[in-house]
Amino acid sequence: MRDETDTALMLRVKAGEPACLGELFERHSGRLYRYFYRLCGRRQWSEDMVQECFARMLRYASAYREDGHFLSWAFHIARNVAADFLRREDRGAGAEGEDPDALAGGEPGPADRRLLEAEQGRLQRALLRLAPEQRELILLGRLRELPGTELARLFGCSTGAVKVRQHRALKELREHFESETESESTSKR
Amino acid sequence: MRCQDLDAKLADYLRDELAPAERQAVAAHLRDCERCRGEVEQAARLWQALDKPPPAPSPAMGGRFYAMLSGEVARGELRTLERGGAPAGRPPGLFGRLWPTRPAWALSYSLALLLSGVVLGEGLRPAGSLMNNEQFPALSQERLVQLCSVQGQGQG
Repeated sequence: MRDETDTALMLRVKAGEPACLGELFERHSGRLYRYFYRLCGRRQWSEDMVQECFARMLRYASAYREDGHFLSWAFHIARNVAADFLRREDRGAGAEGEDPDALAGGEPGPADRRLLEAEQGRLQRALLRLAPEQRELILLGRLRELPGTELARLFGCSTGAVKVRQHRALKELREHFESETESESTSKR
Repeated sequence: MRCQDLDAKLADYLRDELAPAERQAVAAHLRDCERCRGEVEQAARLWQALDKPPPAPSPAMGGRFYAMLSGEVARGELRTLERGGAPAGRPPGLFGRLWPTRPAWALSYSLALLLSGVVLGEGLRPAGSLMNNEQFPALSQERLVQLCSVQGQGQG
């Protein structure tokens, strides 16, 4: 099973061997979790969305195409899961990222670790200020989860259009990040 | 290259996906333009920060998934049985449904029971048993003599 491709495993799931999804979970649950976490900034929500993602893979296994690209299909499901999950009870807009101090357990650490955690906190808050599609474009592009052609297919546009949208999203992210940095410096004075 | 030309190429530049000639053009512009240099440095920091791993998921994430998967595997076997089929790995038809899920275990257990029965039976058999072959022929002869005497009296 470990030597089989993702597509071969998913086709076996489709043919009635659900146990093969276990190997796909081992390979890809981490990247899906990272994607969800960057989208929402919350560990528990991210875990819930990973669970829902794999549950949908089982439910819709019959729709998997033999010539399909597994990760494209998985991230297509992941985008829908995130949209449904975050829309429920208005979890998406304005959701606060986890406080980096809380993540560190409030314990004093080395100065550079605290700086890194503070930067991660600002980055997460800046990401959350983007529109959901912009966040997805940046994350899927940066994390190199999908090649450009698959990204274009996922977003229903040309490869060139994906690049333009990514550029705009990145520019907005930088602006939000600067704004977060300034407001943090102001609050510390 | 103008500053606005760099904007469109920035993401590809950060991903190192520009053609060599384009990359050289960007590098040349950055050498001369302080504003763009600052923007690219900030964008590169963000780009690298996105790579940092978020807090690890809890061990429960895997547990929840495998609990769900076990349930699905069991439901799948049940659906197969209801349709008259055999679960995966078993012969088809009625024989398949009667076939044990772990035949090696079932066979070993049965043999162990049989052996225990034989050993116990041997241990429990008393010494003066009617089934003792040495005594049985003698008893039969005595009984035969009695029977013959009775018959002889009847005919006479």
